Amino acid sequence: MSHFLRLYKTFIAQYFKRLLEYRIDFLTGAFSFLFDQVTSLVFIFIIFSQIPTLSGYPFEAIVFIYGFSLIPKGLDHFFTDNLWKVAYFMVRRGDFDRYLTKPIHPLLHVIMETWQIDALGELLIGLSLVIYSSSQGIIQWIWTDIILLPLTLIMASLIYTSIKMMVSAIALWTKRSGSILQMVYSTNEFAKYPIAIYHKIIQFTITYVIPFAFTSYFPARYFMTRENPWVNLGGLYGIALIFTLSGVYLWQAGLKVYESAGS
Amino acid sequence: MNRIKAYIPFSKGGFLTAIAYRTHILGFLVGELLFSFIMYYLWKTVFANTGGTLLGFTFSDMVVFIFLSNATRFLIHSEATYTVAEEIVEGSISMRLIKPVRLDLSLMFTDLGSTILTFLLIFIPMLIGIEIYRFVEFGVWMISPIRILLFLFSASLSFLVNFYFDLCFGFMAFFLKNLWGFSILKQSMVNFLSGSMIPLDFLPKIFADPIKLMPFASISYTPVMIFMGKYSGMTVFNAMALQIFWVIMLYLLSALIFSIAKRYLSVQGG
Repeated sequence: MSHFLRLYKTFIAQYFKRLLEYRIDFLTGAFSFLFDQVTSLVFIFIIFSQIPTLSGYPFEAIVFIYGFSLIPKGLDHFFTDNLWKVAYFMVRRGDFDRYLTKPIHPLLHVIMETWQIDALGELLIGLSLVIYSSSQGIIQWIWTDIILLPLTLIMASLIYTSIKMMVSAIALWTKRSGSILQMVYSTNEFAKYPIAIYHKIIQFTITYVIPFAFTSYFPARYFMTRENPWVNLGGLYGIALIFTLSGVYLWQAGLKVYESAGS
Repeated sequence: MNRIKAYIPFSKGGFLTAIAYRTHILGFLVGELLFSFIMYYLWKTVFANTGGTLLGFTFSDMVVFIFLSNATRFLIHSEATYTVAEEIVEGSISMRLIKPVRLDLSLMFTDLGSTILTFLLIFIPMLIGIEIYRFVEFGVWMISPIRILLFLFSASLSFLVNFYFDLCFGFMAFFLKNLWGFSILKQSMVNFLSGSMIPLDFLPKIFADPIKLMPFASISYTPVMIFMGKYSGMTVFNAMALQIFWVIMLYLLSALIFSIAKRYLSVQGG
């Protein structure tokens, strides 16, 4: 374990050197993601200047769900961004080969190798919105939240990570799966709003097929209403664990059949 | 005429590249459509609560607005920022500079090649879908050939505004080397300020009026408003004149940036 921590520290030290080299670029990256969220907030604001509640939820509740959805998304974005590169071009260009020559598991190596500072934009907005909306009385915090809130956020990030693991693993067979990943991943946009506003088919998809609704709407509803913890939180934990195991399994299977594309 | 002929192979190249990268385009299409559907359901809920009209828009207006804005974004999409930025970083831009063709036109014709494909495969089906939707909503065909022609003319101007705007942005790579962050910023700026996310008239007037004068509104809001009949008579003429103004301004700006930037160009290896 301490071996891994030491390795991780070395990788991240390298990352920070690159960060300093391209300082402006990293700052604009984080700022862009922040700006992107701000425009969505203006949009929510404009909607609420016209109506008092959106399918029964007041402004603060919508802001809470929206902000809550950004935190796991940002955490995953921060820690496991390299999986995108595997899906898009690492395998196709043959760059992936080098992970196979190192004495750590390739999946672990890919994830540990880097951070993505851009995600700070999402995390910052997400946290501010959650803090703002809960200060408006939409949440009555109770003592179990000290454990449940961090645990829920971690589990919700695992849903993002495991979906990225599963789809990026496809590239080990097909050489690239970036576009499929893009399609699957982009459905998380639906999770930013209460799922009740969507058509039944969409609700079904983001609950049972690509379960992004469990990264925001269900847990957020638990914290707001304290109803159905077994479904709203238990469902999330169960799915996160099953998906993570499936992701690891798919990587193992993919590594067995992997053939280099490089020359 | 012969001069134009020299650029036709670029369009052909762009067309073939678009076909080769169809899964990439499909991924982009799904993402964009998803975004439109989220907008659709959000507005549906909003209109269900307010009943009737909102700031002069009915719900069916809104549906047309959402999907036509989306289709227009596809139509005028340009790869100029990425292409220029990548070529500057890789140094392959030197190959473009030594050829007897203009940098901007060669890039524009490459874009046109893929635009032909998106026009046929994405825009036409979406337009038919929108017309069918309006037929179902109103019980009569609302197709207006004049509006469609005006739309296409205005959208062509949008293409040029967007292209030169993208080009100016791509040239920033001469100074910054790495454009990833900036291009995301540019995209969310354009999406918001071009009015393809929220109709600009929904913003408080104090913001809406200056934004309408900026080049962003010329990118997708103008053609969409013309198609929907929200602009008529002199307004159409004025909006198009503003588009032409921005084409010229951004063209001059890109030429200026390029002439300065050329001095900074350093190509490593070769």
